[in-house]
Amino acid sequence: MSLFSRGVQSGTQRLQRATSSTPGRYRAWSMVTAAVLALAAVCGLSVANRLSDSTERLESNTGPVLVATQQAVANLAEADAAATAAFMAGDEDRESRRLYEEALARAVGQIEDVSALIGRDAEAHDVLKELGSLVTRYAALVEAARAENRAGVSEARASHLEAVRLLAADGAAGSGQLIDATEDRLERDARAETALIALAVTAFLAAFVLLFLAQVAMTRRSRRILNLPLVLATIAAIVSGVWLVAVYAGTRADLDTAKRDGYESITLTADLQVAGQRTRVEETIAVIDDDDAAFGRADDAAGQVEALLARLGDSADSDRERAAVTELDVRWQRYREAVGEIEAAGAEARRELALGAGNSTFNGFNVSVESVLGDNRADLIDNLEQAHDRTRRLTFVVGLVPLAALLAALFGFQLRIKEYR
Amino acid sequence: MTRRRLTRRDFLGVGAGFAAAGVLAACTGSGAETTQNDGRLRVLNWSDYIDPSVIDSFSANTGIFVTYDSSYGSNEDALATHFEPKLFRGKPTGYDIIVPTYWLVERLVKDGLVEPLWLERIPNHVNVDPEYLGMAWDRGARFHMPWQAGITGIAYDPAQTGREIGSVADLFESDLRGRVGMVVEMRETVGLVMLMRGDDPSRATLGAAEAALDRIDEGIASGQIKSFTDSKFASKLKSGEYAACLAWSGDAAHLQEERPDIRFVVPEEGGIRWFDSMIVPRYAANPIAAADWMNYTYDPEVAATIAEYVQYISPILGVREILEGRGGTAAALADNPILFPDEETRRRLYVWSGMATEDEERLTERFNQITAGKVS
Repeated sequence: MSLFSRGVQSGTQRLQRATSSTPGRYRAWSMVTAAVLALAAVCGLSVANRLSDSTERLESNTGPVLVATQQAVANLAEADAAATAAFMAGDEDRESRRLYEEALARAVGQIEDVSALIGRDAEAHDVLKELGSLVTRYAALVEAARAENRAGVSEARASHLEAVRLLAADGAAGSGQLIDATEDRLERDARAETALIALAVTAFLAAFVLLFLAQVAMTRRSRRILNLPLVLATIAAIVSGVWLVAVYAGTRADLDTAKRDGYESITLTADLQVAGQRTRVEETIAVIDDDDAAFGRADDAAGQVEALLARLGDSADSDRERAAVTELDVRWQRYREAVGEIEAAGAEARRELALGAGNSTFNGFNVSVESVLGDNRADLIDNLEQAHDRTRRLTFVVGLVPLAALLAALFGFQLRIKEYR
Repeated sequence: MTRRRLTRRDFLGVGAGFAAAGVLAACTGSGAETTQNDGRLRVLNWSDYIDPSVIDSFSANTGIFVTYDSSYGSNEDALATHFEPKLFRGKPTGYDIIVPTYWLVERLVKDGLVEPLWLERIPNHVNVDPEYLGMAWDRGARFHMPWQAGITGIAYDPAQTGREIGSVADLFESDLRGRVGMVVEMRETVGLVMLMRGDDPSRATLGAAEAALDRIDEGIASGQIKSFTDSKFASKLKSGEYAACLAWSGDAAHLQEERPDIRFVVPEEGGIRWFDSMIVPRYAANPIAAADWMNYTYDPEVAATIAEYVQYISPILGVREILEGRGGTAAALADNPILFPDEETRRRLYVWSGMATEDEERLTERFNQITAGKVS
């Protein structure tokens, strides 16, 4: 007989001796129950800590990073559209110049925000550094084009178009990389802790079953109706387990809502804003360069806007959202009508129309998109806050309450054991 | 008709500024719709700032009983009477809609004292002129809806000046000494003098504004500036007390009906654009009726009726076309550049902005000190 087999046999015999009497069986039962409750508490605490950490990270870091990233991209596109409108106007259009400066400042500030929040992600920092340097080069080209334009230098148009192309190519690539990196963070932080929660729930369920059966057994043996400490331990185990499940389910629901109504809407709206601004840039280039081919490119970008508007309309799930999408649609149609008039006009009239109705109707659309983006941003942050708020008392409930249940159970078993002395 | 800015001094002087007009609803109300809609709407606005028939037609259309209070005398007065003692202390103002000037709206929005608009009940929000959507403090106009806008420029009587007046600098020429008037609104007078000095009031800095105040102070000390006033500039121009003055576009338009020889110009340096906006103050009893009112007054037909009456710049798209279609005097208004400034003029208009609230308060205090005893 091997050493192991002898050990098992001896252990089994000791266990049989220990549980041969009723007090012995209660003692063993109490130890198993305590172990299961301790396991439930450990698993529950682990779930609570992970939930609390991930929701806090989502609320204070990942969420703001996502928002700032999308806003930076949208603001760069807005700056570009405004810079092109200001260039077209010579130095007369103070409003376009103001819009350009404000949008560029916002984009720079948002890139800095992302950089400060994104932590030790070296790859993301490289992308941010490149994006920052690109914005500096872009702004320098815009200023050069502006100065040349004022001085009546013929290269002004080439400088401005170089700026536009720089942002359209390198800027889009950098922004895309940054968006991918931040979306990965969202996925990581919002990942479900399925295995751990299943283990915790199983442990709480097992503790409940053990406590319940212990009471049934005791009632049969002693004909007493209640063992109060065991009843309290059972209630505490139930409360902890149900609380854990409810908080976990609520948090998942909040995170899903945050993703669906918040982040996905933010992405959709930011894409809409960028596509709208591409349309505007191409339309303005068509006027500056007297280039009808650019109107074709503007039409292509406009097609994207219309498709995105339709998707936004489909995803609107409240009267307020539907009203906002309707307003966007009307303002976009007004802009497209203005572009139609610009395209149909002669060279000189084109410029006047583009500066008048073109600017006005486009700004109306653009600002409306931005305000919808603001609503979506608020939805995202609200849901992330709510998810984090849910986890606030969870550590106490799934940590201390099972511990109290454990002590109560041990006390309850001990009371009954004492009766046999 | 007077310009909508009745100052506190005017208010006290007249002694009867409070003109509440309750209009009884004609038929069944929509008041039972939700608990927040009690079928009553309380509006606080400036005087003579609406065609009264619009209140009647709103009630007839919606069944909402309107208590229309036109006692909004000035922004400072409203701050002292409604906002500081009530709203700032977490108490309701007793109104569902109030119409302050944009800079005060900005402050209230930033302080979280304005309810977001019920945009789902305001489909006519789409008619807000894009010019008013881009305010940095409320992108997309989610908290306010502009009521009317105006320009502060120069009005003059060519017979009195003996020459054309085209710039703010002209008002400081010695040939007009003692016959120049300015307005009592600090942001407008200081803003225009800043423009004269080559500074931009849409990016106002304390230094530039202080320098403009110094220039105004010199003008008072030298006797160049006779006094500071509000809508009474019209009577002072008519009487010859002023040869030229800073003036509000809507009142200038009314004055021109009576005296077509009087001219109103946007100065070469640029003019000051301002607007008053409807807001729903926090704790308002009936934000639903407020939304319905906003939607109603943003119907271009209704807005055209209001524009025809008040003769300020309408911030609502489509009003001009409707006035043109109405023919007669309405169509003449559609061609009036004071009501519908062209693109070139619009590009020369500045909205005062950019300064911290505390700095503005300091400026206002100094402005009040400088102009003390010179307000008439």
